Amino acid sequence: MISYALIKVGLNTRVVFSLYDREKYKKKFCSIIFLILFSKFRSLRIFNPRYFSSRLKALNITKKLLFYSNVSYSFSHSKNYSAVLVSSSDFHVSIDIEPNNRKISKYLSLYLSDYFADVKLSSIEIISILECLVKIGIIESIIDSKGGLMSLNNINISSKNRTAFIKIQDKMFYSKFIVTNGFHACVTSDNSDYLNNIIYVD
Amino acid sequence: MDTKFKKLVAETFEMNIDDVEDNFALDPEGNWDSIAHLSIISGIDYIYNVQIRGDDLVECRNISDIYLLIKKNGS
Repeated sequence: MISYALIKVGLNTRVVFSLYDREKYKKKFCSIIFLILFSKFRSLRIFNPRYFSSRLKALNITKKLLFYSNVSYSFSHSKNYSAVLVSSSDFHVSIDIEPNNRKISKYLSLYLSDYFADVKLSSIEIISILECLVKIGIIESIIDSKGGLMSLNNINISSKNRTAFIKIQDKMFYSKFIVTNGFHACVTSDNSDYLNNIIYVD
Repeated sequence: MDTKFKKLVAETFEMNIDDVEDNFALDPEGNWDSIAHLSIISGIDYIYNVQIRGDDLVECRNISDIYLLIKKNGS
């Protein structure tokens, strides 16, 4: 199963989201790896199937949709699935996928409730937002390098109509949740426009 | 390995506590993902009042390694 979402922002900017099963990419590994090594998606972890397949998917999307400059992208991996988000713009984008049935432990829920008790989102959705903020680079990590988990006092989250509004360090970010193929995907950006224009192209 | 830790492992990996064995393996491409890391760190903090470092946690290959970290950091 493969899902795509094509997200249009104005006339020129497009974002493509793809969620796919990595199984069929195993056979392509040897023959195509050099294409990735000489692309903007090269990675030190390219010999790992999950990273290989996501970079190949991103490369194919940019070729197919003629994204050649100002490309921003993000990857997320969970179980046998990977998600790729490619944007024909240089604004910040990130993605996190989690299985719909993923449960959050009571201790992790307690930690989140210390900071986000009033937020009308599930624990897994808040975790996805935080993971996206780490990928964007606005927070370094959820785990404190000295031990334990970070204080999240400086992050304010609110939500309306399944869109989250995140304020951190006087900057605004926006998250939208897409449910597909047994996963929920959290797409986060500092540009709110494309979140309202998601179109699936299966 | 005490029962509190086994309960934490069982809840984190969504398994029955009776199936938690000392050599239960942590697979970075399977069960041992970022949410599992956060669950274990938060659980150890709440249960033992011990703060585990993420760098130490990613070196663990099975749950016995994590339990040793608790003992090392708690003493």
